This record gives sequence, structure tokens and C-alpha cells, in this order.
Amino acid sequence: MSAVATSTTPAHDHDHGHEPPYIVRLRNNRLGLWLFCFSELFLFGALLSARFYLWGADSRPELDQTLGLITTAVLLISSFFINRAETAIGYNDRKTFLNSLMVTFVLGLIFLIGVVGFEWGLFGIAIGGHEPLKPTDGIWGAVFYGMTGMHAIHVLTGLIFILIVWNNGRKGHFSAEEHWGVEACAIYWHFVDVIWIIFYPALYLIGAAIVIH
Amino acid sequence: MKDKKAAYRQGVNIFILLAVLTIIEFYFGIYSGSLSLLMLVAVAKAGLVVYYYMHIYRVWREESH
Repeated sequence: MSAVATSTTPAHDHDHGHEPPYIVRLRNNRLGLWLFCFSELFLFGALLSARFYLWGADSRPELDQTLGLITTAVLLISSFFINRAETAIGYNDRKTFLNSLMVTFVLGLIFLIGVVGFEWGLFGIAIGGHEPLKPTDGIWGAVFYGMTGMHAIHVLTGLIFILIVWNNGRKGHFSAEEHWGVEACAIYWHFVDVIWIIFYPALYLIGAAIVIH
Repeated sequence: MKDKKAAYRQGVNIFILLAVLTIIEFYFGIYSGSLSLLMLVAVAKAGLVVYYYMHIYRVWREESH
């Protein structure tokens, strides 16, 4: 038993030295994320097509304009703050980075509550004096809940992403030179904002309002 | 790399532009509801976000952060 063969090669040697440089990984990661965003456009594009096919270009259900404008503004401000967080980590300004990321999270949460809680009527409050649309309200409810629901799922995922990045940042991860995690989170959050930028006029502004209830 | 203040300022300027376009969009929606006008403003807003906030040009310029 004394002649047990021992290798002189360290156990995990094959894991070292083959990782591509950071800049190469960064380039591939960026391309991958952008391809993901592009593929998502087909999903949201289909929902937008359904809106125009079923509602037409000259009609929309009556929704509360104030609530629509507030939620849109909140999401836009959150985009500004996540851009600020990304800029801050680029200069190793960790305090601004973490604070801005947390503000983005809170604003995202407010947006989600605005749409799901108030616009969907989950809180039982009649906004603007009229009852909220129901998923059973024919083409009006189907399109409205399809569009806002799919978007809300993406907002929720973005919020989880932001929390993970914030927690990692708090533990000292990320630097001015290497912060792909922050950049990816920012790109994803902005993408969610871009979708709402297109959905907002499609749901709230285009065409004449039709009272459903 | 841009200087720190200029980088922050760019974020603020784009936000102001987006806010102004949103107000214009809201008034277009309330007073006309025109599909082409509203989509034009929405595409302009989306373009600003994609270029300045999402930095789409980094995909082909191969630059670091």
C-alpha cells in the first residue's frame, strides 16, 4: 500500500489560468444581455399588437390619468437613480451607489403598488370615482391585465435583482474597474422603463376614453 | 473617462429631457390622443434611455465601464 501513486499536479490546477480576461467576459456578457432584451421585445411587441388589434387606434378604456402619470413619473425617476448608482460605482463612490440603488428599489416598489395595488383595485379603492377594470371585462380587461401584468412581473424581477446587487455592494463587492453586476442590473431596469415608456401612451393616452363600468 | 461631475450632470440633463417629453406627451394625450404624435414622443424617450442610460454603444465599441 506504500506505492500509492501521488500526483504532483494540484487538485484544481485545471481551473486556473483559462478564464478569459475581464474585458472579454464583459463584452460577451453585454452582448448576451442585449440579446435577451431583444428577445423580450417580441413578447412585449405581441402584447402591444394585441392592444391595437383589439382596441383599435381610436379607443381605450377610461383609466385614471393622474395615477398613470404618477406611476410613469415614479418609474422615470427610478431610472435616473439607477443611472446615478451606476455612475457612482464607476468612481468608487460607494455611499452614493448604495443610497441611489436603495432609492431605485423604493421607487420601483411604489410603481408596483401603484399599478397592482391601485390600478388593479387590489386595495378596494375606487380611483378617480370609477371602478377599476377587471380581467373579465372582455377585450378591455384582457389586454390591460396582459400588458400591465407582464410588465409588473418584470418590475418584480428587477426589484429582486436590485436587492441582490445592493446586498453584494454592501458586502464590498464591485469596484470602479469591475462592476458588471451593477451595469447588468441598470440595463435590465432601464429596459423595464423603456417598455413602460411605450406602454404608457398605448394604455392611457392613445384614442378616446370609453367608460367600461 | 469623463470627469465625475460631468457624468452625474449628463444623467440629470437626460432626466430633465425625459420629464419635459413626458409632460408634452401627457398634454398630447389629453388634448388630441393622436397615435402618431404620441408614438413619436414615446420613441424619442425610449431612444434617450437606450442610448444615454443603457449605453447601447458599448456593445460595439468594446469599451470598459
